[in-house]
Amino acid sequence: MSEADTGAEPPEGDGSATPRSRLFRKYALMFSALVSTVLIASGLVEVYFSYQETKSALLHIQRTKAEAAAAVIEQFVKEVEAQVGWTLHATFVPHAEALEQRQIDYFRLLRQAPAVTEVAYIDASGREQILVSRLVMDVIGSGKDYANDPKFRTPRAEGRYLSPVYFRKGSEPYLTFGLGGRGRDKGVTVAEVNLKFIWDVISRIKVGAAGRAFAVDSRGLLIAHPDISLVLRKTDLSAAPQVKAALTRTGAIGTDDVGGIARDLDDRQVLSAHAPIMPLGWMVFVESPLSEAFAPLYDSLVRTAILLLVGIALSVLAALLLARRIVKPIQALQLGAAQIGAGALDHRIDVRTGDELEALAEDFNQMTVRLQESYNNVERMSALKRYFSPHLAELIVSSKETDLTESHRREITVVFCDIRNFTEFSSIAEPEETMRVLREYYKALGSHLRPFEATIGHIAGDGLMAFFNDPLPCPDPAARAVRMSVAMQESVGELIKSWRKRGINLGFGVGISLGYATLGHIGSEDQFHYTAIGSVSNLASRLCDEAEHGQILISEAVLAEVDDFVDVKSLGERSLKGFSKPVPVLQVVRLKESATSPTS
Amino acid sequence: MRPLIVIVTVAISLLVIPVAGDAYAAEMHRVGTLFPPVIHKTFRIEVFKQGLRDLGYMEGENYVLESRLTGKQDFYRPGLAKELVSSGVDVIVTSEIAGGRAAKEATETIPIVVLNCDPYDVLVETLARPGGNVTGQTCMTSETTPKKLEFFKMAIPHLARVAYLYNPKQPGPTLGLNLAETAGRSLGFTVHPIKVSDAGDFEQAFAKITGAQVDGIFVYHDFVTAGERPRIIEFAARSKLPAMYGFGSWVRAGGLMSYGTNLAAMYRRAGRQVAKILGGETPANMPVEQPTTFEFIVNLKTAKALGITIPQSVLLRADEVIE
Repeated sequence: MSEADTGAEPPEGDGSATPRSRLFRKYALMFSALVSTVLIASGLVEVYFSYQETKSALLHIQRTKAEAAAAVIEQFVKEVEAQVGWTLHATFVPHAEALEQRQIDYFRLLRQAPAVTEVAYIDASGREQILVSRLVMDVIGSGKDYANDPKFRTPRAEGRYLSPVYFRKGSEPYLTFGLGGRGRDKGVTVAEVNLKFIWDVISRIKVGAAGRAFAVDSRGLLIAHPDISLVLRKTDLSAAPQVKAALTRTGAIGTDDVGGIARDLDDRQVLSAHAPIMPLGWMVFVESPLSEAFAPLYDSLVRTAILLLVGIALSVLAALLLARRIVKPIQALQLGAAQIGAGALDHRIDVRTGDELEALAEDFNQMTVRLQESYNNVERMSALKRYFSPHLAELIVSSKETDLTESHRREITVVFCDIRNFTEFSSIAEPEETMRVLREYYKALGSHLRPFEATIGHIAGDGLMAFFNDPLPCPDPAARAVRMSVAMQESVGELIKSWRKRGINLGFGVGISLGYATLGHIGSEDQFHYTAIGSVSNLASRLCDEAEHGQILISEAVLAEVDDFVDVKSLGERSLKGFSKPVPVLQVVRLKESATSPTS
Repeated sequence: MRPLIVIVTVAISLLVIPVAGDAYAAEMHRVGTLFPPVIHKTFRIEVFKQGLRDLGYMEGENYVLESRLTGKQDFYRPGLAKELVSSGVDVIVTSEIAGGRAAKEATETIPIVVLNCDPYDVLVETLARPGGNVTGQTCMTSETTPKKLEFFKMAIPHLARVAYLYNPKQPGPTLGLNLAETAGRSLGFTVHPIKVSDAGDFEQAFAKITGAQVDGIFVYHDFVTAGERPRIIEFAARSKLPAMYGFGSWVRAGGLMSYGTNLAAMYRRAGRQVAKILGGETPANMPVEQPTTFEFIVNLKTAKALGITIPQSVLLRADEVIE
């Protein structure tokens, strides 16, 4: 049985078994803990890996958006470049006409390219020839010298020039775009591009619900942002970690270097990715609030958590059911054993699980049956002990003789014996002395009663009445009686010798008879004997009275049974009290064989 | 079981009620406006509200407009601004330097958004970082005066004498006059200043223009001249004089031509600025926004009525041609 149910616990054997037992709880807990641990562990592992994977996937997506935004901005710049480029043409015409043509071209450019605020032409020697503007008056032939200005030199050398971003009046972002002439045209067209138009482009880039795209130039200055006022404020982002990291990297960008988790201007956590806008040396950043960017991840985490909880709930349920199925038979065993232990020996444990527990229950039941049998035997024994010596009681119990309380008639052999001169002796001796004598006497007698399996009828003082063939039948009751008497006589004879040494003069006599008697118990409910009534008893008693010291007197009926092995001497007929006719009395002289041992 | 139900119910209501409450107990902001009454009748105020809507502010739900109007010409009386301040507005929106000044006098703490076309020096430290409680939009009317006159001269090549109709009481028109005179010298015409300080001066001004025998009128747009737009257009038509205005609305109303920024866009941007201020940003760090586009608009019908043919090269530069 489980340790939980033994020990100092008060017994739960009251028959009302509820599933809330400790063994049940233990198993249920163990199963749920086991399954839950496995679920949680596997869930955590999965979450960890999917977090990493999702994070890199989302970053990749963000990077793609940044690349798309970069492409859009590049497109804008390329369009301006294209539009300015349309104004270029080889000069095959005289100077003045070329100028007029250029002016018309520039009017058209201003119409078609709203981002261009001013466009000017600087001739091959570095002097400005024409300036067409939206804000200030057009200037023709100013001759201003830009020979050493990068906006002239760079397009001449490299074909194209993109100035760093500058702010007009401190708050309007511009860049100067220079394009070198084609073919024989060695002049340069310079356009002032209002970058607020990039703002349009940037603000149209949708990055989820709350994400943003913005651009910084090569120095980290914000040049485009959905919130234009940040641009106008010339916000410097070069210190922001993600900007710093993006700008300081040169060369190819690896996929794991495209961004990560950063903090934006409002100090919120965002997923930030960037992409370069190559010809300009600018960088586009696409940032989404972490909560939005990671929404699919959080969703899957929540899903996993819910599944986990459901799984745990189911496992708890399963554990409860499983534990119940295991514990119930054990409980049945425990309760059954408790009941049996408390005395209900007819209780049978009912367990039908088809396994070792059922076998155990069966074994228990068999044990209970045997227990019940032995208990019954013990009960019978204790009943019998009232009547018989323990030894005899055992024999009777094992022979399964039942209902000895009923009177019945049987042919028995009765033995009466007593001590000669006992009365006289007891009246003058000290009580202690008398008791001592009686003790020794009965010890000697008892040592023979038992082996010969005599039934003690009654004991009165020094007189003992025993009989054979009831309640246990035996094949040779008379022979046993005689042999026992002879043995008794020998033992008691030794005792008498020792008593004589003490100055006690006593003798021993035995009378044996055979015949039918009525047997049963006499007395009250709690104190009774099992004894034999009949003339056979009387005869044995009278014979004993007649016996002198050392004599064993038997009747003719007895002689008939023991003639073979006993030498007898006839003492004639004697008149015995209670018998109408004189009875032949015989004395046992000796046994013919040396068989004085018990016959059983 | 019962205590658990009670606890769960209480927890849920504590979570739900604030969320639900957010939708209703949203602060009702008060936007104070100090405009000439005419603005309230035009599309501009609607576009302004659109700007607020762009950033999630709905009239009646998150804000109410509080106006101080006066029938008289002193739309920007400081007293009106003070009234707005004492009525507990969260932001004041006004136009012109005059309005900006009046509002600034009335409060140094409540944010002010100004729609102003003149130099901002008196109102802010720099355009990029205004530094105080004033920010807004600029339309660069005074700075673009030479450009306007350039277009005027390009369209009307014979232009030699130009009447410059303006309000001398404000710094912008006066600055514009200086620029106009300089431009006239390089473009080849003389500038004749005609002063109008309020509505009552116009009769006299018109008489002066007729008397000065000019070939064209240049109107400097501010609240005084804007207040008499129909009269001016009608006068120019009557006198058969070409005129150059500051905003497209004049051309659509019958004027000949204009060069200036898009007013609707400006009002919308102003609306967005107000929305950002209601959202908690400070005007000190909110840059004054310059216009992104300028429009050259020509009304060919008016030109026809005046008997003028506008050169093709000029029409090439027009952003809008009204037939």
